Order: sequence, then C-alpha cells, then structure tokens
Amino acid sequence: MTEPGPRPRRGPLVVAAGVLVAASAAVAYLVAAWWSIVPLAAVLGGLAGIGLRWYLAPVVGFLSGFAGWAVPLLLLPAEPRTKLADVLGAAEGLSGPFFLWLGPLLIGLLGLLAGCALFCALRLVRPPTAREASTPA
Amino acid sequence: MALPRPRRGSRRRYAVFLAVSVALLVGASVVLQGSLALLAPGTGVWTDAATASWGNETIVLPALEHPVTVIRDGSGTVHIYAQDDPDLFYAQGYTQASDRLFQMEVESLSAQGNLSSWLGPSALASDEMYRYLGVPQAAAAMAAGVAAEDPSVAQDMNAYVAGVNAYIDWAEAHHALPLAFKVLGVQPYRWSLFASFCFDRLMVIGQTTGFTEPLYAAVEAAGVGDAAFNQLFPIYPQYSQNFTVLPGNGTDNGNSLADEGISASDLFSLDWFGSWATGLSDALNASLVPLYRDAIANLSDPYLADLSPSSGVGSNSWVVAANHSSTGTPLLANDPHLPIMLPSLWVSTQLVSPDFDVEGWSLAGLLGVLIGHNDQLAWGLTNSEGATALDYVETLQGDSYLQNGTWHPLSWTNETIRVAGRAPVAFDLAWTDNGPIVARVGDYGLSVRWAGTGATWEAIAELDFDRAQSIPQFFQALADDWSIPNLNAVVAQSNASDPAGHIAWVVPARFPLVAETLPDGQHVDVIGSRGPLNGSGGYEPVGTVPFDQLPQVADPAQGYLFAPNQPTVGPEYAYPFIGSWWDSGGRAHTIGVYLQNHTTMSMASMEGLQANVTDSWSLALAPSLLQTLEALAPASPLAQAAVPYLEAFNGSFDVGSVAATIYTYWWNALVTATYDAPVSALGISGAPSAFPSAYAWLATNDPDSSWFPGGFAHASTLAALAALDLLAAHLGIGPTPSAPNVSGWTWGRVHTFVLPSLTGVSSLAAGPYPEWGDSYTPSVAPFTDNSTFPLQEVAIGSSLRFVTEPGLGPSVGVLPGGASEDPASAYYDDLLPLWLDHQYVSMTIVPTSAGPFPEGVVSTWTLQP
Repeated sequence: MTEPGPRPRRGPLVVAAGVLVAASAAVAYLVAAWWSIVPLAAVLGGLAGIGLRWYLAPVVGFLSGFAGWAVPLLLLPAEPRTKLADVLGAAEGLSGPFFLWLGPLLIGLLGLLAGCALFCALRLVRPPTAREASTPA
Repeated sequence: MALPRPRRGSRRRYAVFLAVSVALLVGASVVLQGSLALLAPGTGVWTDAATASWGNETIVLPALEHPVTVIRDGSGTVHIYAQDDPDLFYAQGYTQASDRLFQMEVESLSAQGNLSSWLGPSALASDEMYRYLGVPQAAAAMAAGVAAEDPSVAQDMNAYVAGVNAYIDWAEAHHALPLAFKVLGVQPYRWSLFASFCFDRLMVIGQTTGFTEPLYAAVEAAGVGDAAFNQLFPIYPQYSQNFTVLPGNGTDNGNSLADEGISASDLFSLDWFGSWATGLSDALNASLVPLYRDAIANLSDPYLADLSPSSGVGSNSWVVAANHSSTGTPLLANDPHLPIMLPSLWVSTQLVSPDFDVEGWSLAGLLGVLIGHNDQLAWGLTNSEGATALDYVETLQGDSYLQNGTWHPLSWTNETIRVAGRAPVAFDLAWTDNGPIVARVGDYGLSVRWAGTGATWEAIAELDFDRAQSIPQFFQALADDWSIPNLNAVVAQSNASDPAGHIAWVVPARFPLVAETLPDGQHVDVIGSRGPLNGSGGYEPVGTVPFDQLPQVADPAQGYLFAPNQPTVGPEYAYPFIGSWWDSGGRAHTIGVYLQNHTTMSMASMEGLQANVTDSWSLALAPSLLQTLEALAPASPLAQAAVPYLEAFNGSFDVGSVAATIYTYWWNALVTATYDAPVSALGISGAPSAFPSAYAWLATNDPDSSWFPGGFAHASTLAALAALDLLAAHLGIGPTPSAPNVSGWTWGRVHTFVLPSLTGVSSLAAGPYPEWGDSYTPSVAPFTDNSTFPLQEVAIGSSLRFVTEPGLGPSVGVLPGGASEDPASAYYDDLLPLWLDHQYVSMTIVPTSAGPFPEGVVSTWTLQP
C-alpha cells in the first residue's frame, strides 16, 4: 500500500487563481485584446490541471477566460448595457442576454483550449509524480 | 534515485492532445478575432454602454479661453453657456460630436462623394451624384473663402471644428467612438470647415427645386403630350380654393405683371414647353429623352432612397399676429417634413454668450441654430418650391461645347472615389459655363446651372439671423448672405416693451432669372422653366430677383401667414414662377381655413393644428368615390358595406378611420392605373406624384380627359372594385360574405410608420407604429402611391415640431427620436412616444445656467481651459 503523499496546499492556488482572474479582467479592460486573456487562462488552467486534477485544466481555463471578459462587462451601467445587448443581439438574431455573454463564452472557449494545451505541454516535459511512477504499466 | 520517464503511450496521447488543442486554439483565434475585438469590454461595442449615461463632469479642454457650462435637461436639450463666441461654438462642436459624431461623419462623407470609402461599392452611385453636382469643389471654395468673406464667422466656425476634433481625439484615446464606427470597422475623418460645408450642401440639395423636375416634365410631356401633362401639373393649381402665402393676387411690394403690360392669364396659358420658351423643339426634346433619363438617374441619391423610401418632402409653418392670438403676442409654428431616421436630424440646443442667446434646432455638423427663437424673435423655415437650379441641354462635339455660335473647350475636373475593398473609381467631370455635365448621350449633354456649385454663404446668414434683434435685422441677414435653397422664412417679433410685435415672411432665395420673349414679342424675366433649356445661348440667367422684390410681406391685414409649400404668390407676381413645381396646397388649405376661422389662437390650438389629420383633397374627391360605390352597391355587398363609411367621412385620417382606408386604396388604384402606369412605361422612376386635387378638378371639369380612357366614372369604378377586392383579401370581411363587415379596415392597420437607422441596421430601427394622416394632412405621413398591401411604411414626417412665442415666452418642441445616436442611451429615442402622441417638451429660453430648467437637469459639464 502506497503511503499517501502530502495533501496539495490549495490556499496559495486559490489566491493565485484570484489574482490571475483579476489580472485577466484588468488586462481585458485595459488592453482589451482577446489574446491578452488567453495566456493567463492557459497558465491558470494548465497549473490547475497539473497541480490538482487533470480535468481542471479545461474547466479553469474556460472559467478564467469567461471571468476575465465578464467582470468588466458587469461593471458597466446595467441599463444601457442591457439595452445595447438587446439591440445588438437583435441585429445578429440573438437574444440580448446571450449576446451580452457571447464575448465571455468565446474567450472562455479559447481559455479552455489554452488550458488544455498548456496542461498537455507540461505533462510532456514534467517528471511524473510518485503516484504515477508507482502505477503499474 | 531518478524517476522513470512517463510511459510512451501516455506521452503520445499528451502530444496528440497538445497538437489538437493548439490547432483548435489557433483556428478559433483566427475565426473569432474580429468578433472578439468588437465584443471587447474596453474597446469594443460595450464602451457605448459605458459612455451612454450623462453625468456631472469636469472636462479639461485647453483650447478654451474661459470655462463653459454645458447643461443637459431632461428632454435632452443641450444648454451651453460661454463667455465668448469662439468658446460657445467650440463647446457646441464638442457636445454635438459627443452625441452625433457618426451621423455628422456619414452625412458629410455622403455629400463629399466619399461614402464608398466606408461602405464600399454600395455607396458608389450616391457618391457619383454629389460629384456630378460639384459639391466637393463648392465646399472647398467655401472653406477657403469664408475667412475673407466674414473673419468673425470664420473664427466661430474654426472654433466649432476644433471642438469636434477635440471630441474625436478624446474618443479615440478612450476607445469610445460611437457604436456604428465599430460595427462598420471604420475610423472618423478629422472634422474640418470642408466637412461642415459639405454637410451644408447635403441639406441644400435636398431642398432645391429645379434639378430633376424639368427633366421629369420633359419626359412625361414627350410621352403623353404637353396638354395632358399640363392638366395634371399646371403651373398654378386649378383647384378653386388655393391659397398663396402672400395674400392677394401676387402683387408684391407694389410690383405686378400688369405694371409690365402683361396679362397673367395669357402668360400662364402659353405652352412653356414650346421652343420659343426653351430653345428646344418638341422633336428634339423627344429625341433627348434617353439623355433626360440618364440625368434623372445621375441626380438621384440611391443610398438615401434606400434608407428612406417614401416620398413627399414638404413642411408646415405658420405665424399669427398678436391680434389673432389669445396671448397678446405673435405665435409661430414650424414642422419641417424630412426623412426621419434614428438618430434624429436635429439637435435641440440653446446657445448663450454675451451677444448670443438662441434656443432651437441645430443640424449636427453645423454651428448655430437654424430654426428657433432668441430673446426678440422666433422663426421657421419651409420649402418654397420655386426653381433655384436650371437644366441646360448642351450641344457637344468631342471636348467642346457650343455657345453663342462658337465652340468652347470643356473644362474638366478629375474625380477619384475611394471604395472600401476595391480599387478607386476615377472619372473626369466635364463643365461648361452653365455648370457640370451630369449626363451625356452622343452629341448632347445635360448641365446643371446652380449657385450651389460655387461658394454661397448661408452659414454666415444663419449666425447673423440667430443674433438678429428685429425683423429688419433678420431680413438683412438673409439679404446679405442667403442664396440657396428656395425656402420660406416666417418670423415673429415680440418683447416686453412691444408684446404685440410684428410678423413677416420672405422667400430669401436668389432665383435666377431667364429673359423670355413671349410669342407676341413681349419680354419678361421668369423664374425657372417647364423643361430643360437650350444651353447654347439665349437662355442663360440674366440676373437674380433683387431681395426687395422677392416674395415677402410684413404684418398682413389678415393677421396670419402660412407657408406649407403652396404657391408663394399669385399669378400677378412680377417675376412669373414658370419652374415652380408647387405642392398641391392640401395642407395649406386645411391650415388656411383653420386660421381663417380661429381668431384667438393659443399655444394649445397651434399644437392642435400641428396634430390635425384632415385631408382637404379627400373631401374634394371622396364624393366621386361615394358616387361610384353607390352605383356598385346593388350588385356588390362589399360596396354596399363601404357606403356608410364614406357617407360619414369627414376627411379625418385618424388611425381608426375605415373610410380613410377605403378612400386611399381607391385613390391608389385610380392613380396607379391612370397616371403611374403610363409614366412608368416611359422608363422613369421616382416621378412626382399626381395630386388628388388635380383629379378632383378633372372629375368635374374634364371627366373625359385623355388620362381616363373610358371616362373618369369608368376609371373610378375599376379602381373601387380593385381596392375593395384587395382590402377584402387582406383584411377580411367577416364570416358572412353576403353581408360583409368592413369595420376592421382601419387606417392604422394599413398605414404604419418606421424610423430606419442611419446605419442601415434593421434592429436599430424603431417601429412600425400605426400612424395617422397622409400626404395632405397637416400632421403629415406620406407614402408612395401604390396598390400594395399594406402600404409602404412611412419614413417621412415632421422632423421636429416647434410652437413658440418670440422672445422669452413659452416655447415647446419635440422631435421623433432623441438627443443621442447611441442606442444604449436613454436619450436615443426617448422623445419618440411624445412625438407619436403629439406632445411636447419645453423649449423656453433659460437665460443663465442657474436655471430653473423646466425639464430638469440631467447632467452638468464644466469645460475648463
């Protein structure tokens, strides 16, 4: 029976995640270029996948991208934001609320892919954990 | 001890996942990058939500000399308080741009003939039209010449331009350009005097009479004969109850045709298409129809026509004297009928500086106030319809044109139009002494002689009449600098020491005069022409009508004046309007009768008259329809069901009227069969509509006119059957065909109103709304004559409504839309419900920024140097 390893220290990860989301949102608003979010989402997703569970790579990648784009939107004044979303959504044949979240969804998609990519890249170069090494082939 | 490397299978799997992830990431990034840039929270479309709200702000603008206060009231009106005029207009430019930058840019670009640089090939035909009319050259000449013409106005205009550009700088730096720029993916051009003057020309062109009217007339006359054309489009309408703006027979300031020994009735019975009048024989005119068709097409703006397809541009204005009002002061009303879009054409503005205090309606792209009131005066504008442009047929030979028997080389300008996504389009535009050649077929060309191809100074006149303190000063401003377009200006004066004040009206346009020799050898200088003129000599203008002999009157004995596009003067006027192309006078009839019968007008009754939906011509023509229906009734249950509605019809086109629906579809069927169809067969589109007033006259006086094969009664019967069948098919007749129920055929079901967006994006449009009125009701709602179901949506109407006392007294107004062009703004279309309901907001002058503001204060900007 394998000795259980030390439990991962999640506190710093949570703090790091918060910092990265905030940084992501700030970059989204200030630089306001979609590509500025993607590396942050990749780092966040990749690290979460490596450090915690593999499936967190896409999940955290998506969420960090989504949140990075969504937070600045939520800071806009609500009434004109809703009115504009309704108008622009109608032009595209979409509902206003869906149009409002379209940007975060798309950036989230890119974040998901970026998180997966970095996770896989890290897996290729990172030594396996003790648990992996002891697992029978 | 070294750990073993991951297993080979696991590495391969991660490598595959990595490759797939990266490939999908790159692919999605490429596909989505445009959308994501547009949706970015800091730079994309959402910044319009961020800037949509007006708050209290201090804005540093180093170009200012002194602080300026900008207050926006609850109706969106911008009140600007400055300590000198350059600061005032700098602030006007800054605030106009903050509310309407896209509108300003797109309208100016349109007149520059440069819209294709944004919109691509779809705007090319529109760009070519403004190039054909020489707008860029004229605007450049005005931009270069305004400083010499009036240094003070040039300083004010330059301040305005700097204010606009200050806003563009701010918006670009803060990624806050209006939504439409982002959606279209374009950047604003720097604003300039040239841009302002181009926009000025756009407005002037839309109001100018004489570009296409003689061409349509020549084509129609060649097709149906001069006599038939003159029956439907007489120089003076035959209808017996026509009102003119100038009371009386046309004697103006003591001058009349009779003074020259000329009989007006003889003169207007002449064939003004004849070669003696135009220098062109009937045979030559007929052979030149292809040239005229090309010229019509080249002088039409298809981009604007697509945005706002309904016809019927006109306007209402009237003014009553103190002895005709209940307030003891004059009262004035004005509502210009123009294509209505979002954003609204007008900007509600008050401008205050030590020598400037005016409130009213500005045009986005120009400084000052065009329609409004100051502390002494109130004024309104409508189209006067007399020709200020002349069409000439030029005889050409290669690169030369014939004039007075000798050949002269054509002048050329090179026009290069940039087209988004394509190579630029270049062409050379030929000019004769008359003007640009807008179409050429073989050895003939069609040139346009128009003051607008050169510099004119209405922008100077506007600032001068904004400052005027009396009617003579107002007139002097027009006399000094107003040349085009052909407009009626009504004005009222009142102040505390003379509350009764004065009223007056003038047509300030500098009408070009053509010296005509009548068949009997008499000479007379006339305004305009029925068809194009011979450009080879003999018909060039010999001057313009002197200002003091233009149509005008002050303080008429009747106590009121009204100028909704009807004939301005009677036939005795000393300079006969041959190219007049008057409106039918339907609105004038309703307004004139009302003012005759109401001698104590109030603000409320003035507003009520603006909301009037009585069509006088329907009252004249509906008896013919009733007669037809009664004849059909024994055999047609549908006609029988319609009869009671027509019997009770009072000419009111309210949304619940059934008779209005039946009458309109009958009229449309009648005019489509008898006029539109034969005219369409001539290969022209967009020809002026035939008027019901002319049909009413023909029905009584010449029912066997060539326009009515088989007679008027036969045409009326066919039209009634077609109309009833169409309405029954679309609106239903209830469960019992033998006893049809037509009570649901209400006007509001078939007659609707939309406000298209200037961007062309359908979701940014408003409507459709059920709408009252038609082309001939004071509360106007015109549609193109046709027999479709439902009617074409109305997109023209009162672009503003304004009722006011002169001076500091009560004043109200409304526009169909709002102050902002930002769809996210609460002020995008906030006034539309009021406009639809014929309600108003305060336009009363607020002398100082301390208020009080009747509509409340929404935001205060302090502009600091």
